[in-house]
Amino acid sequence: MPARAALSLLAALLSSPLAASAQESDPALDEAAERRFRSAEQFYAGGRHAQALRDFEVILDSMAGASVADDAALRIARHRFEVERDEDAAEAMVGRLLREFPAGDAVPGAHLLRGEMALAASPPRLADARAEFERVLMTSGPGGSRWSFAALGGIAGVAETHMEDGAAAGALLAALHESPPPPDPADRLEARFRLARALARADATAAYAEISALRADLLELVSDHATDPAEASHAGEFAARAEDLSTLLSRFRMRGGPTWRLRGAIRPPRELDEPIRVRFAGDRIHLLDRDEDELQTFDAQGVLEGAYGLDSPRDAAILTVGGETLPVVVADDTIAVGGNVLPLSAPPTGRGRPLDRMRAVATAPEGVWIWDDREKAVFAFDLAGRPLGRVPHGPLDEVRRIARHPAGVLVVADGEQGVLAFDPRGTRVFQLRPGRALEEPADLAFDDLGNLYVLDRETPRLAIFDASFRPVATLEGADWPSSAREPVSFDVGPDGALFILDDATRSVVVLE
Amino acid sequence: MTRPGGPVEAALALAVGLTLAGPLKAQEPGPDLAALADELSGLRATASDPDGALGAVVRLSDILQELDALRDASGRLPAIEMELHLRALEYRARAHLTRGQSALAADDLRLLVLAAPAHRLEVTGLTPAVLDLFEMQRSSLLAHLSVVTEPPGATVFVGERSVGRTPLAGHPVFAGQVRIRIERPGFAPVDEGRRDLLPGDMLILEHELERTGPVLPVVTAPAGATVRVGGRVIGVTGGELPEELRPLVPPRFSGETFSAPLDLAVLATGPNEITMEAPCRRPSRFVFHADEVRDYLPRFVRLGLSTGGLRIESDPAGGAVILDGEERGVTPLSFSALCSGPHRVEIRHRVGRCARSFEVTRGSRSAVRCEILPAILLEDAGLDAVPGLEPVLRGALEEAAGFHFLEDGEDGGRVQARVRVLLPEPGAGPARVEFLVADSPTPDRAEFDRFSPTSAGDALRRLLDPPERRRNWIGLTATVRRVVTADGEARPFEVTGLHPGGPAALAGVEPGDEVLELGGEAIRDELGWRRAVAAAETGATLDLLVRRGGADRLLRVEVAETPVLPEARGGRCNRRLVALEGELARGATDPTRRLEAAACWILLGDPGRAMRDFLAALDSGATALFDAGVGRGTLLYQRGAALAALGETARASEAFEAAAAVPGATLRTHDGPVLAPLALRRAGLAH
Repeated sequence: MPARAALSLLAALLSSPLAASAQESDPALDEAAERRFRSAEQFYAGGRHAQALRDFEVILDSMAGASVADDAALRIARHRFEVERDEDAAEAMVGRLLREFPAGDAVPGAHLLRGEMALAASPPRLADARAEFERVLMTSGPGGSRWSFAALGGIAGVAETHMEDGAAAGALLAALHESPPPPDPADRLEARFRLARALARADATAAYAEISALRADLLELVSDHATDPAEASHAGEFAARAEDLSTLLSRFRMRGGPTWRLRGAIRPPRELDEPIRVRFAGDRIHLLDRDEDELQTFDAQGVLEGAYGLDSPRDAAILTVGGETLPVVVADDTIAVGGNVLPLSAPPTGRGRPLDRMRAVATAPEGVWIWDDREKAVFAFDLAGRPLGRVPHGPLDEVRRIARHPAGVLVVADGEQGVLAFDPRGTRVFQLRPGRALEEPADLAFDDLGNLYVLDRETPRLAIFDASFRPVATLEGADWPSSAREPVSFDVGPDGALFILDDATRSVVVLE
Repeated sequence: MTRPGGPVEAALALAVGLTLAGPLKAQEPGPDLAALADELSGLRATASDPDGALGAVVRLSDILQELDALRDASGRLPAIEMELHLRALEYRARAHLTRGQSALAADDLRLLVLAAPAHRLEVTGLTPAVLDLFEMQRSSLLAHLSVVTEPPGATVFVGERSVGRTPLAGHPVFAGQVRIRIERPGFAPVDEGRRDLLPGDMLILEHELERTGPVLPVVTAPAGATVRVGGRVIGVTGGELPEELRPLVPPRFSGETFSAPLDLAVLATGPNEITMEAPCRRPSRFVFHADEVRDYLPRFVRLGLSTGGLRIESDPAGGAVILDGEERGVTPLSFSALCSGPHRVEIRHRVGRCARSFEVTRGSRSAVRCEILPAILLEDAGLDAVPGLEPVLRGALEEAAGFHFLEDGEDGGRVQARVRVLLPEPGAGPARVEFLVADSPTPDRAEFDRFSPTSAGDALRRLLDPPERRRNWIGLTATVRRVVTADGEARPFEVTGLHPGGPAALAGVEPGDEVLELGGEAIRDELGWRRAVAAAETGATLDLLVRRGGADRLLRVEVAETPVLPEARGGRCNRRLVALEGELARGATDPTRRLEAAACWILLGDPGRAMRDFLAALDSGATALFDAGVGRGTLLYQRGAALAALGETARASEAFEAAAAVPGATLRTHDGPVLAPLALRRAGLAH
């Protein structure tokens, strides 16, 4: 019976020594513990992790009656997970926190960490993560806690993974309008941007309003911080992103579907021999030349900014980390991130040896995904080269390209099976079989609205599908630029501009 | 229980009862005097009973001790306690005599005479032995004084104490050396000097008083007039006109009730300026010529009424009127005849108070209009800990003007808002100043530097600064779109969304229109648009120049306003609620105010109040006042939030689902974020 259960719970809580110790909190002990906690925080912020952890452990073990003891446990758990990557130790500490401090104010933080760990698992335990994030909200009370914003962001992330844009928007709205604001205002701006993106797929009119308000607020921020160039530049970047999103949204809202017009072609001053990939990010064009064994980077006007070499490169992608864009290139057994070789550990699954036939690469905020043609599998690695696990998907053989939807869906261009999409659990959610609509899938890309672009090299044509893989538009025939008769690769800019790499002219054709 | 005793007990019991019903009740706890009076009546009977006399002595001794404890610093007892004290002494003397202890009885009776020379023994149960012993004590202590004067009416003083007016017959005075004086206004005082009186003596004095000046008796209607001679206050008239003087009342004053005469004996021969003033009466002045030193006939003066009309109004109406400390009714309130002169009115309303001092002039009709301001209390606690803090906070509150200040401890009405200071131990957290509406579980708060009172003032000002409630709204969203043309790149600022029923939609704006100008201002982007809308006058109609299909169109668009409901955090709900309650009490019918108040109470953690006081009132009809369903969605959402907080999940879920179903609903404001996804999320959680 609920009443009896509630009474039992109450009795258990009252009889718990922890509840008693919480009630009988000793002010002197509290003060000493708090001083030590603050000192440990300073050590941690200064990079002296070992010293900080010792202090946190002393608080947890010797000052368990202090009000910051649960916070100390949470700090330790977070360190185990984020720095040491020891999920078992982190989970053990979280379990201890929840067991020993069931009424502590760090309980929502513990659930948040559990949610983050569930997301980071391979494969991600999305349902567990969402449940833990919801627990953050339940244990935070009606006014919310300092973890509510992140939890709602996490719920939105899970919803985005499932393409549940309405649910994602709901969580982001709750984060933005019904939770204590995050300490870093940039997180709020990022959430607003995500909200605009989620709404763009669900409710374009609302998305326009959101984007307009976001842009206007950002522009005001820019003018308010005119004397603080760093702040102004930060807001300015967001404003540019919002404007790009707005343009992208407009493009797909136009009557008759999206259209593009030729803006021109960029012919690199340095001769391309066998260009195989074009990638656009951060206003820069990156071209991978297989014959020259190098990745060349140009600015938007075609001026060469730099190049670096890697033997027999196979694929390239762009990794965005902390606002910086880093080109990622894979060769057979080598991967370079931002020009530096990333030493990969052997994946724990598969044959247990280093990958040596890497053919395609995709990036994610947490690392890189690599298709290995010997293993016939996609593996994920973090940015230190540590394996994150094998990405689940159905049987594949002739993979030419992989791409990762921002929401976590893996899309594969397979020579035999066409284009396939797998959700984070490996379930196939889409397949475009080779036939009249698709002869030879050569490249894939997503835009910020989650639209999938598939380049069919033979026709040539570009097929576009919305985030639910429904066909939206096709660029072909008379609309196809005559200067790009032999397309080998393409990319989509944040405002929907297309950059098509043409093998015949060895140039990048830009469509706006 | 039957109460023994006759008229004395009855009178005493009544006096005790009256006293207890009056101020005595409010005094420090002491003996229950009514019960004591009852007990004494019983002890009187016991004192005559040989078997009960000892018990009576013991108990009466206790009672005397209890009463002695009530003496003030000068040894005096209040009247009722004194009466009980005398009775206790008398009864103890009787008990002693019953037990045959006449020496002890004599001692008590002696004390009795010393305490009250004119004391009369009670007849009930009185024995000759007691009477004899009492008279023996009197005769051993007292002499008697008789004074006769011509004219009579002179006051006789023994020592510094007035003992009566002439003719005085057989007045008991303590034997010994006494100083006797006789005084009468207008006559030379008589000083008998010190006289030796032996116990049992009867001193008889006769004097013909020597006149020193003219005497004019003044009689006023009504009594209670202050009489001045040459500007000097002589006295206040009182009492009733003696029968023998009534024939002297001039016929024109027949029917008036006059006072007893007040003898003016300080008059000089010649002209004397005499003035009389009484509350609510016209002052009267006359010059009296005293030709000779003699008694004059009484002068009858009637002080005419001096009143004016008054109307007291408050905004909002319905406040209790406390006029000169007396509750008189509810605003608006009119008085046809109110005493002229200065007055003070305080109006206590459920949403605040106001106070005014004003003057009523005779024959005119005045009006007092008082704006009810929220009653605010600056709590004393913590103010002393930081030197200079209180004046700074007071200053900030006074700057805000719009409050009625209460002093700490002042009561008698509801406090709408409080300001308090929290000063934790150094190191235990920041110092804070808090503003909270009465009953609010969650204050608005701001931190300040405990070493800088100025920062406390700034913090309080931030709390008091009412957040902007409304902002201009035209009901369209537009964004810059990049377009590549043969001539190059264009960046039109195009309408992307229109709010159904909003001003822009009503003006004929269409999606895809390029916005060129608003109110003559060229518009290029969102920032420019926002600034132009914000700068416009609310309610104004502006020219909106748009380009559609290559042709320019001039449209007329009205600048509407949108409510700004509180944010989840930092909404300063307490400050806003104080203002909202005032607006609603003044009859504001705008349902958004109720909605805002409800949202505030939900945020403050009192969803029950939100439901009871505000959302319920919006149930019927009010939603029709919202245009285009925006307010309706917001209302339903807030209802869901309140119900969810109250644990009524099923009803909350229904409300959220209904909110999500309202087309185009936005959260909080017309131009707020879209509501549906949030409402659906909450609906799912409520399930």
